[in-house]
Amino acid sequence: VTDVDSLPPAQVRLLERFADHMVPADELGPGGTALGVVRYIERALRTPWAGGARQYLLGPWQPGAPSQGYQLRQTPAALFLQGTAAALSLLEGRFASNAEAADAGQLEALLQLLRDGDAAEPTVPPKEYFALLYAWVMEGVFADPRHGGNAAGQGWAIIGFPGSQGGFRDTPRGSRPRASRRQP
Amino acid sequence: MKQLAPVDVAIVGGGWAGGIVAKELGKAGLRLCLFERGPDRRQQTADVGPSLRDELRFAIHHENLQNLARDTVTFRNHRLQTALPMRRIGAFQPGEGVGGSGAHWNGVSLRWGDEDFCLASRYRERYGAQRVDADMQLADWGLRYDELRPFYDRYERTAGVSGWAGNIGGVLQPGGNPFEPVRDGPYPMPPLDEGVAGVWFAERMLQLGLHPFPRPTANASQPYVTPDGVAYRPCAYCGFCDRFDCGFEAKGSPDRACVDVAQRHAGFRLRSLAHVTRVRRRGRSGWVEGVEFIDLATGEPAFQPAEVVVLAAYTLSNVHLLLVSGIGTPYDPLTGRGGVGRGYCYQSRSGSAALFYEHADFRPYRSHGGTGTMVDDFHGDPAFDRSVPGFVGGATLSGGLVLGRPLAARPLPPGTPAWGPQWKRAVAKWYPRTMVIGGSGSMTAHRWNWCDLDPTYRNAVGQPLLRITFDFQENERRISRFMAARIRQMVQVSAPDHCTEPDAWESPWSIAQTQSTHNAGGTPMGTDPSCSVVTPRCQVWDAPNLFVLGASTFAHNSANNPTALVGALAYRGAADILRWLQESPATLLDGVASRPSLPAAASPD
Repeated sequence: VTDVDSLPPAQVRLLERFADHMVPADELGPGGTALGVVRYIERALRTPWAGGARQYLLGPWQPGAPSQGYQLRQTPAALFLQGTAAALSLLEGRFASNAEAADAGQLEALLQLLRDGDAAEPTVPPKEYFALLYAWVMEGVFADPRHGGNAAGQGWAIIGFPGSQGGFRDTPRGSRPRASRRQP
Repeated sequence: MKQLAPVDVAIVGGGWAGGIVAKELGKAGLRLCLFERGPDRRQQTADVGPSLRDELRFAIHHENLQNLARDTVTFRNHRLQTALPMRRIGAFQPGEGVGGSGAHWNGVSLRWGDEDFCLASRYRERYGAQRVDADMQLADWGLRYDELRPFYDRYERTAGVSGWAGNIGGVLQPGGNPFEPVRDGPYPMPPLDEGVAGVWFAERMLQLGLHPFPRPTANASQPYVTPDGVAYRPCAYCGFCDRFDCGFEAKGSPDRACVDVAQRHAGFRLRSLAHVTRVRRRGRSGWVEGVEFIDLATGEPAFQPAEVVVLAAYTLSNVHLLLVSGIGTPYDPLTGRGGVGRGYCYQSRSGSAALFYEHADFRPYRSHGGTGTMVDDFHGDPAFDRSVPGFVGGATLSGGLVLGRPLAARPLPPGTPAWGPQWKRAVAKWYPRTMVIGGSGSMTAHRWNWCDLDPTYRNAVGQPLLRITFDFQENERRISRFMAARIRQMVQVSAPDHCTEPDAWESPWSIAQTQSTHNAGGTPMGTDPSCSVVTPRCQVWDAPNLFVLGASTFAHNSANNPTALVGALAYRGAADILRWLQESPATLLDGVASRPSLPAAASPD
């Protein structure tokens, strides 16, 4: 598995900024960092899955068509580490900023750049990195708290998911759509 | 290679097909060995309850699914492309471990009837000889629903299916599916709750003159004991079915319903973590003499001699094992001849529609694997006129809540940002207020959809991977457009405040997009040995003591989910294997003539 003890402080800070920008604190609950997103990511990097477990990792390696799915050589952990480093240098280079000083507009522009795959970074495919970053931020909010995020189930509370401790057989069934703007 | 003491029957695969055969042959006192390459999780499932409902471990990291580092497939859309390996789980989710895919399924359990088994002749009678596509490979299965009826009954009682019958002995039952194949009696249990979204959908479908019914599913709606004495507890509505072992002993799963039962019999032996790599032929005769496997705990290869071998692995593994064992004639798309790898099918479908209601609470977490309401009017109804949309087959459509596991489903109206303050408010608002309408379409075998061995990529034991060449063809594209149009109509009468547009799915088919674990074909059943692999009794034409069970024997794919038919064929297969062993016939059951080019099968060398 990848050595992840060395995730540099500036990258940790960037992930905190991403987490709070993507999942801001509001009346519905804490922001991403307080929910444990970065703690989740640091643990996620060390999971067998992030190290490529249960994935086919033999070559030859070819890019393939989108319909053929993930064909990168990197394990998820390697992709994430390379991608976060590349995102930081993009912030420092193209935006002449850094993880501490970046304002909301710069963070937004950087995330959009990664999402749309426009970032010119020869070794790290930005779309694939962004897909993993987005997934891990969401997992840090909505995965079971035992994995390090979703602190005290406050992520689940955002949407009203009552938890996975038991079943809901005796929970009332809810309510059907009521008269709305467009009654048939 | 170490050689083990012989058994009567070696069974490859510990899912529904292998589990049923093991249980039934165990009762008959045979010496059996069941091989499963995954682990035995039964004790863990019984012990740990809540930690089974961990979405990250099972739905994202796929701990219960096939270990692709050990064995996967390669895929391309057409023969001019280079196939590349499926490096991660995507479109389909083959299970691994005792219980197979039946341990982590949703439970949806629908019978296939004569409309499917006689698809080719029914279509010809009604619409003439012309086809949607000259390369479509339509063939009757050589099988009739009435032969399977008692076996469907036994499967449903074993799996513990809850549902509302639509046709008992030819008498239509209000509230059920009027187009379902005739049943001998009600389902083992009444249906589970469809949820308020499902009921809402049902009412809208009645307005359209359609025939909604609660989706039958192998989740117990009440305490239930199978004929083998396996007890199910009532479903807890926890919402963790698909991808998960059931922590409430409520879901019909072959690990409990079959393997536990097989283990009561002294002649039965389970070998988990045992990867069968080859079926060994007896010299150059048509017969087989056992299976080679690797004990994954020790890495040691061994040979298990057997009188009869049953391939009951997942669809793709059944095809792979025949190809790497050199059994049967590989399919050649250029000539259209050969059986192994032929007729690989999946499920046609369109995009689904999400419906958002300002004033509703669907309680999306209060669900079970089958929650929802279906209509079969565009699939099971023989009177439905296919000539206008111009396709063979059809589609079932369903409506109900969005399964509310927090990593799987956070539906948002179109135009909502994917992060930020607006996203957070929207995700909170719409989580309980969204329902979905979607569908499942059939697929016919096609000349250019097939499986063979990959020339480049290898599995962990150095064998070539199975290569899938597959795309949606014209028939599937037409079904998809039809589905999208019907869904739009259903959305219209359901009057949501916002909705997403259901797009038709055109080519190319993608192995990366999550769809269904309904892979079928590749060792098709048929009456013509030149273009099928097994007889209508699932016996390999070329190897009379080799039976293949599972969806790989399907000659096409129905809109209906595959498992009920897999179960029924396994029950019939178990009876056939017994009969065949007892009668010791020279070749094949039912006096079917073996392939003429075979050496005399009764005198194996």
